[in-house]
Amino acid sequence: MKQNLAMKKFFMYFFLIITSIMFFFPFYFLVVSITNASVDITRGRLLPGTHFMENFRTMLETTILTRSVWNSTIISISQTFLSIFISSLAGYGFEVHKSRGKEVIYNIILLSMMIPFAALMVPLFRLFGTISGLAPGLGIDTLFGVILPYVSTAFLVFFFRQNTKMFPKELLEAGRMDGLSELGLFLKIYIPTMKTTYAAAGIVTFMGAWNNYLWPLVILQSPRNYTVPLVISAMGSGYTIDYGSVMIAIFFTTIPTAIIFFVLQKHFVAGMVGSIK
Amino acid sequence: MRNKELSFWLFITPVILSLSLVVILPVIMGFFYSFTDWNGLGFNQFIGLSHYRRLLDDNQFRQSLWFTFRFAFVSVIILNIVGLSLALLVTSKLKSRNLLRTVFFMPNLIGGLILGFIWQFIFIRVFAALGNFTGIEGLLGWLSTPATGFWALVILTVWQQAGYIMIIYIAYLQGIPKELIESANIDGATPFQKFKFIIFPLIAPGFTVSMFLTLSSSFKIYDQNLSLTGGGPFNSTQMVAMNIVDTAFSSNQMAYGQSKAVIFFIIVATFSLSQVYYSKKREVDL
Repeated sequence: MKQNLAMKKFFMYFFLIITSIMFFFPFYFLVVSITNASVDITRGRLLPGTHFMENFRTMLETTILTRSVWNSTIISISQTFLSIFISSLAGYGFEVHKSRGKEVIYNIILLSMMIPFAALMVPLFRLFGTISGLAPGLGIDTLFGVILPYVSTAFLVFFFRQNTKMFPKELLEAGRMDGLSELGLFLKIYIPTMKTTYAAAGIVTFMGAWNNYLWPLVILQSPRNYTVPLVISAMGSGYTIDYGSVMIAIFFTTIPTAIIFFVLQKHFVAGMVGSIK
Repeated sequence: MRNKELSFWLFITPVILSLSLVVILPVIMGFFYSFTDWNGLGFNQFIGLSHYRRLLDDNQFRQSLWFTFRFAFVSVIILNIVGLSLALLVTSKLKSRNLLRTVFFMPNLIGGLILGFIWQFIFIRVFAALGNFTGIEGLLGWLSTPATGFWALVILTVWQQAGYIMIIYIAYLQGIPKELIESANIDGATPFQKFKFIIFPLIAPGFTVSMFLTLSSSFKIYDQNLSLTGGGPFNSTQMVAMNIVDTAFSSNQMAYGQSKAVIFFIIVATFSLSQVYYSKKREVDL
């Protein structure tokens, strides 16, 4: 019996170690590569090198990257705030308020989660072409154009409604007694109570916005408007590619999502758990 | 009562407006464009079903559909197995379980495009170096054949998304009442029996959610496809999303690309809806 237990432990740790190595290895490769010269990276060198400063300088000379970090920051932050606010309004509305036909509308919103983005891309591009004609600052090749399709998402509406099921509704009654308006209840009671949910939604949305590639590729045309993934993709697809500087660009542009994740991660699992009950 | 109804509509109007503009309107417009000859510029004419007729003979489109299906099927199964195993692992009594959750979730922090770029080096260079070192021929020449391209995409997808699926299963595993497991222990149930008769039925709703998420995300993949294999060799690993982007934006056949998108949408919707329907039914049966 004892031996059996020892065997079980051994296999468990063996499995754990193998899985952890598999999960860590690509990160290790990335970190090692930022210190290696382009030639060594293409040879698959797995040991740290001495080219960090050189790669770093090449990256800084790629001025378009600095600009793209700024663009991505503006886009990701405004997209995160807008879509979380608008979607949580609806998620809250669906769960707290009553109306005829409410479930029908909700199901239509859920259905829209199944539409692949590839199916919307062409008409959206044309729609923004029309918007460009009316208001050039809001159409094709603008940061606004990148954000607009994501100002609310079906996934977030679903996410907030599910989490709201655990929201103590007595708090609302108490707030009504105190004479708060419906919007006041939402802003002053719901949002502070649901911090965990907002944190989890914030992580998911920010990561999605920061890493989004296809739509910015379609809608942005001039390099000064490029977002980070577009610049990195361009850096990695020329005739002579300096892999060292690509790797270091990848490394540095991953830091913002990593910071957001590690700052909010305490709430993350709890927020996600609430979302699927 | 009136008042309540009004406040409901006030809360959901912003979402309805924005989703109508960026989802519902494009779906209707897209359906309409697929019957025209719009090429990105200029005026369009109605040409009826001719794009759809042309689709029937489009071997590349058919091939990418078939590839996408196989990819979605295999990665959904592996993703759910790996995600559930990781969840079982990190909900056990391990000391390192909180650290492990973070580690397994970390790949989600990096976008698909960039992960594809990093993994390309691993598949081509590191695998080759390992293959030469150990003499295992299976590690050589990755991404240069359709089969290795296929498995490389599956490995990348599973590696990237397993942590996310793990979180979903964790949520359901934590919801299992401890008394149930304890009484099973007293009755002398084996780990396998516990899994089959207690854990599995209780996390069935988790299957519905994660099957839905993995199925729809595997069908939609574009970034990983572009940066890992670029569709190669010879477009053999090109998935539908990439086929549509290439048709619409690289060869400027917007309307033809859109007709592919319409077909793709219908297929994905049919699959996702029937998956949800059957999983819900099974949940009730269990």
